[in-house]
Amino acid sequence: MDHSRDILRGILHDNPEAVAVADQYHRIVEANPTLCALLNRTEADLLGASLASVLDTQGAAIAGAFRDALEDGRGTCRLPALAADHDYLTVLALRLGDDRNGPPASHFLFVYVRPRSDTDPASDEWGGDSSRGPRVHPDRFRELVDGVCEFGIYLLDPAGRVMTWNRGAERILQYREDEVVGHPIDRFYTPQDRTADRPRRALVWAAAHGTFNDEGWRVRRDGSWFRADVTITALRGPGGRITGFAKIQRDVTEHRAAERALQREQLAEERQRTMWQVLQVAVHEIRNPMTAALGAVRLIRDDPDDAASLLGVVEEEVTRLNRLLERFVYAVGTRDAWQPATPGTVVDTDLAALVQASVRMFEAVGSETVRLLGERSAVRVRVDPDAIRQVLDNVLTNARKYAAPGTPIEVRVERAGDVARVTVRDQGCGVPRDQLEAVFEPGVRLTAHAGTQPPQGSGLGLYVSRKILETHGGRIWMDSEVGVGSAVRIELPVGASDRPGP
Amino acid sequence: MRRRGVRVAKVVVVDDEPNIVLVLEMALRRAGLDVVPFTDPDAAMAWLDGDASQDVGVVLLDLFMPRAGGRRLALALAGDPRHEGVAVVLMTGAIRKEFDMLPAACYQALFAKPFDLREVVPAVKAFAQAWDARAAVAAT
Repeated sequence: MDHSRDILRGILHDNPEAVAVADQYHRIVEANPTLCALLNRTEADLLGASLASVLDTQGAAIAGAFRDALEDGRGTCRLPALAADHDYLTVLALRLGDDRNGPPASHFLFVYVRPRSDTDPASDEWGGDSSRGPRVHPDRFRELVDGVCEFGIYLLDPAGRVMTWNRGAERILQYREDEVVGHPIDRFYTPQDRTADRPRRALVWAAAHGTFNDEGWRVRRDGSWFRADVTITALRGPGGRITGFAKIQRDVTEHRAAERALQREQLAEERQRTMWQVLQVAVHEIRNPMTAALGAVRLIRDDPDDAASLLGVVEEEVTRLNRLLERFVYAVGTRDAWQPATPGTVVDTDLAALVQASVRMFEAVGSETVRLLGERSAVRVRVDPDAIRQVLDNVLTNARKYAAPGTPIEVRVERAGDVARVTVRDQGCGVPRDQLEAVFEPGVRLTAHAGTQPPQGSGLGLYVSRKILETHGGRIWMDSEVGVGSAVRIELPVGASDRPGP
Repeated sequence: MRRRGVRVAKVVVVDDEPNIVLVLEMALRRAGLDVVPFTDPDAAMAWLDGDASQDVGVVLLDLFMPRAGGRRLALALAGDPRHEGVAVVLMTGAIRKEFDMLPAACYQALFAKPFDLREVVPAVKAFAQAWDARAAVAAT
């Protein structure tokens, strides 16, 4: 202790602050020249004098204030006091020595005495007069560090052992200062991190790069884990030697949990948005057939003589509406198993004939040229013809949307061993490789050209088509080359027999 | 079409739904109008560029067609001085977002689908007759 006092005396002597050191009885044991000058007393005068007399304050008040400062752990207190030619003095006491549980005899008080101007709010924030230049007053800094409960701020020695501890650190890690001072920070890390030598590597990094930022799990005194955001800064003395590390730590567990919850919410919102988009387009798709059907009915009523052809329009559009409804109900409702609209409708069907009918209808309503190639004679499959017809309509409609204007669409029917194949080829803009599977997902519609809107469609056509094929034991996929065109390939198992009829 | 030297408005109908074009064409013809139907907005634009289109008085078009055809067609008409007096009548099954919609100056009427022919036909006819009247005045 004596050796320390010599060091202390040395530091105090040249300190521009007015500093007194008092023992636990509040008697002055050291008084530096600045204090002497401030109080206009000699050192001999002050030594042994009670702080109360020097500060011209009630002894009991001093005792009480110091006691409070010591007991509540901050180690500082502020006292208004009077001295010779000053109105007001501020006394800040810092506790020296770290043995809080020990008897008072081990305490020393480190007392800053300041003239009132230093605490004048109008003065420089850091206190002190400008002749000494702005600087961080240790007491202010200590107050700041101590007062911050949000962050754990503590100093480590060059070996990584805790030197100081603040309220925030205690709040976060639950250790009291006396429990951690002198100990390495390893105990705050998880066992896995300790095995991975993480504490030491953090300090090494900080020493090499100046600071080290990390987020990771830490362990509180009670063994519970929390998510910490940590910055370690290497402190260097003159000559660049490491004098220690400053560690700032924040408990971000709640923050991360909130982030994850937000992410989940955003994902749900996005899914909702996709559903709404699909719905919006579906609504549009419903309105078109209704427009045509209602219009046709109106025309019939105005002139029944025209009924024949117009009734055909009505039937066609209403059927379309029904199909759309089926598609939609399927996609929105029972995703995992496609139920035929009416049971028992799987029959021996001529796939070639089905394709021809689909192509005929397609050509009749549009201006695209379709080249029908391959098998013309019967290709027998056991399917629900309405469902497969729906698939063909979907695929052809798709080709129409993406085909380059004026180019033909090619439909080929072939039989290869025990599978029947229908290939619909267009010469449109093509689909990038990484989206060839995505086109079969619900709600996905590609743009025909970059920067344009996707063409009209529910985004369900190919999705439902795939489901239908799967239920039939077949498959559907797409090959494509950007800038050249696409080919949608449909495969169905060939029927066991060539016998016509159900 | 010139009949007895009198210019009569042509009505262009554009919708990618063939049955809607069919129904509109029939209804408008019954009302005595000269109809030019299209299911492809690009084909309609090409035709409007040509000489045969000089008597177009009304264009009835679906706003949402593949490859943004409806929008492009409407904007092309708005910017074409040859078709300055043409009335643009929009049909639409959905209004999606503000930016999909056209500026009000680009169209003279809007009908939501499914529309009632008893509303659409008289409106188109009125625009056509207004065009006829202006053409008659300009001829004198």
